[in-house]
Amino acid sequence: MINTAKVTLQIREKIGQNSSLLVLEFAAIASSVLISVGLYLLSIKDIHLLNMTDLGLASVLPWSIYVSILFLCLGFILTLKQKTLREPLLFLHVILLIMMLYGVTLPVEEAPRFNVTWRHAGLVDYVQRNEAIHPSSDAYLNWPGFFILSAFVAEVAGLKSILDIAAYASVFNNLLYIGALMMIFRSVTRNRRLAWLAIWLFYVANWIAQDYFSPQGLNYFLYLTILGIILCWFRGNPSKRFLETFARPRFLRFLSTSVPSKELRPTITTDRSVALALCLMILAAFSVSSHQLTPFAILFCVTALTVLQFNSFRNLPLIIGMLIAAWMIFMAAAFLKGNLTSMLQDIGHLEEVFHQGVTKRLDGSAGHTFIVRFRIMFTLGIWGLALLGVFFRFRNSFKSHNSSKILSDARFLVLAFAPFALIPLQLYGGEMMLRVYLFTLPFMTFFIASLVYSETQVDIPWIKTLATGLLSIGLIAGFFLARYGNEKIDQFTANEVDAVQYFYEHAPAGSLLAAPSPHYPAKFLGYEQYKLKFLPDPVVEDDIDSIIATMTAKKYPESYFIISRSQQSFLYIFYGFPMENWEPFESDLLASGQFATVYSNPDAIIFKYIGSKPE
Amino acid sequence: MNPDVLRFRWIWPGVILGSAVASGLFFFLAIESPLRLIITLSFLLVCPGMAFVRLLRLDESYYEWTLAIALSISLDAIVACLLLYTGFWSITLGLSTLIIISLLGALLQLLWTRPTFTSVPAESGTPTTASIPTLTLTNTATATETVMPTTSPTAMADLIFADGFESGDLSAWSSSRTNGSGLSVSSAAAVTGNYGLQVAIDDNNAIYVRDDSPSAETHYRARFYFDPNSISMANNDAHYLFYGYAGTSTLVLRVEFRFSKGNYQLRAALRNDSNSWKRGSWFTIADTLHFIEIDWRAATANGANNGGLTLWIDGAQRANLTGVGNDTRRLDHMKLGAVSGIDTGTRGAYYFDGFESRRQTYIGP
Repeated sequence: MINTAKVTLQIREKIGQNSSLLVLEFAAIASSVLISVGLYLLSIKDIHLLNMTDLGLASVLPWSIYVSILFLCLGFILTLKQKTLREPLLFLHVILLIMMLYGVTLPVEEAPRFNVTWRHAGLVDYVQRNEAIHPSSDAYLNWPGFFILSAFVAEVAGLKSILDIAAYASVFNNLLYIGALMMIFRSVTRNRRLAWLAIWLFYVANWIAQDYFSPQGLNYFLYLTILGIILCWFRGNPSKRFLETFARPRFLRFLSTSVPSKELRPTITTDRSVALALCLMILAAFSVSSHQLTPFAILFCVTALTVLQFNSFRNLPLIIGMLIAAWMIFMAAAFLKGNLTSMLQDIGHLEEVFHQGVTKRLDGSAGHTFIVRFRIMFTLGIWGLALLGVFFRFRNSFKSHNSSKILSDARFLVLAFAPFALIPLQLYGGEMMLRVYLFTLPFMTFFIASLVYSETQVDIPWIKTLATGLLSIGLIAGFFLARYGNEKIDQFTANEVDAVQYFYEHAPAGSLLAAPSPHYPAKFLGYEQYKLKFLPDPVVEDDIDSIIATMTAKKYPESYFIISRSQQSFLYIFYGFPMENWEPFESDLLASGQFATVYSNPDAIIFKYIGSKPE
Repeated sequence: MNPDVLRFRWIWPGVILGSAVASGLFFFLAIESPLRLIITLSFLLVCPGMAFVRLLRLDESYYEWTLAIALSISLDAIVACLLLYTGFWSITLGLSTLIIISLLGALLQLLWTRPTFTSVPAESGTPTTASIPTLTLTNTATATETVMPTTSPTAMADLIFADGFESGDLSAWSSSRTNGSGLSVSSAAAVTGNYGLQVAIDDNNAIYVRDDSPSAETHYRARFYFDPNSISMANNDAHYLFYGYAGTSTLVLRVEFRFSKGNYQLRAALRNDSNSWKRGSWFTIADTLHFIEIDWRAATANGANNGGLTLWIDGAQRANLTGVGNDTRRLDHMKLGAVSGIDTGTRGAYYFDGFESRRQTYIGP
């Protein structure tokens, strides 16, 4: 029988013994968080976007922003080092990190960043206006699930435009990822410190910036959740026969003779597994309808797990494969008809993937080239550290002949490499390497975190603590350079938005809006009603005739040419087109006598094609 | 089922109902307000999924929230897509469908959350449920459904002590011997919930937790989770994991752990009135998670010789030592950990979790 008085007394004594130390620890953590948040908020107003160079946002970030995040790192590491793990505190740190890293542009930018955000808003507007989908009119409309969902949400919430909330998508998506990441990491480790550190590293290493208002941003959440469900509740173990067949090398032989794997989550009951299987299929169905690439990443990962007997839901690859095939054949037939040949031709062209994903990008201004090189180094650095983590984690397991841990970690190893199989299949506009980095990132950061925490380690030596802190700071500094390296062309001013708005208000449906580049806030209205063209080469070459030819190539009701600040930045960064050349170009355009200025503000100018003057 | 789950079982159905009604009002009455955005987005983001995910009774809130949000988003999208592709695009119809789906799930929650735990007034001198650091066995589906201590009035009197280390420290125990940081509560050791007991052996000093709750018990059952965690032991190294005492220092019950010919092994033993030990055979256990349960019984009278000890490993009876004359023995306190006899060849860490002791009934996994 419990003597509650005695227990209470013991608790009090314990609290008394540890109270001074606890107070000190909490004071240090609370101070770090408060200083961090306070300094960050004070520093935000010192970001002057107009002074940005081609190094992107990092060129205008005040040093105090970095110091504020340094304090957040300090708080996180101190919390990790506490004898008693306080997960709500770690959760708070991760939320603040997401706000600081992914929401840094929110208070200072005048309009939602990234031109694709505006295009996606246009597709939402398309669904709202047409209340139907015509897949043949645009490739995006072959996978419209995300846009239909957004249109529905906008209507229910009474939004005038989805752009009212689109700017918050990065923060929102990254907040969503936390739970799914925790599911994934906790499926392979009991050490929650290791899981939290892996989550922290995921956020400081995710420079890919696919979390904006986009199908892929939301689909990444589905990707993580689907893998989380499989890893938590559909864990399979390779059969003894399978291991005897494939674990033939001498150093692996013990795997087939050892005890059955130790499971962190025992097998679930049938009714619950049916419910979770249904849940998986619902998530997969939405993913298949809303993005062209993510379902393939899911399929590859699930297939790899199944083939190696790590997935007990063995029909899942077949189900996902059938969903993808059915969607492609019946709902995306328009896209397939026009692109199947080129898609098949892309298969296997590794040199082209490398060219489009790496070498082709090493072009442009000195600052931009530096950013691209830095991104490559950052990526290789993350992969290198992860490989080091794989080596040490597996070495320890092999040393102790811990077959359970080896097989458990092998699941992560499979998932860290399965998405690479996407590379030879598609160029994906030269972005496939970036996407593969993103798909593999959770597993890579787990192995990096395991360099710091072993499976059983609760406390780590100060030298490892210091190294973790330095790694975090280094990655965060790198994060701002890598993620926001193109910010000069990704951010838009209210003036630029006003200019495009002018076009939509004055140009009749069917009109043409030509521009030096696609990097401006366009297509957010009348998606299918207006024609947009991008003419970087004629602008750089001052080839006015070519521009006029474009304006008159078809019988547009009206034709316009827009130049905006972000486009000027694009041509400077990617084509080396000097800023001082814009004035002569505009003069030449007007001097042709075929254009008239119809709108201008400090950040944008619109010319209307008025045609040849009568002789 | 955890009594808290019962106490708050109305919360989620209530939240879903409230959220559905509020969203419906904002939409159907076309109320323009910043609140509309917050309420409707919250509803669409959480409720359709949470209405059904709650039925799965997942053990961790982040599993629940993640699945609920992913499922909600997918259901919202699938409903919207179906309406659009079938030519019935209507926001009214879409929202109504989602509200019905959510309310259906909420209703199922209420119907399926049958109480298996009825709260009864604590007996005089018996701690209330709240004062007992109860073990939350919600880590597995089967555990959730079948393993929670059923608190009939008998069961309340039956329970002696339980601790799953979820307080994050050892404060629930009467005392502990930690030998620096050798004995600690850690997340790495967690089998159920967030924490477990980590026994890190780096010298030959005993480290353990002690519970003084038993009071001259004639029948004592204890169950705990044990994971050898690949602890390094020289061949034939052995030490004790569990001691049960009569009075202050008379050992009457023990569980021994050893490493022999590459295998971890366990055995249990009890002491009779004439101080000799009756031991069970060694039983090999895998280097994985196990639940160990012992049932110690004092003989009912002098000469009855009907005392005994039963050992279960993972629910299978492995030893049943009977016919012991131990009627003078009682159980007054116990120790769990590396309680004695540690060898120099034994170094590393193993884990305990989910300790529970009772007077009568089988405890189980």
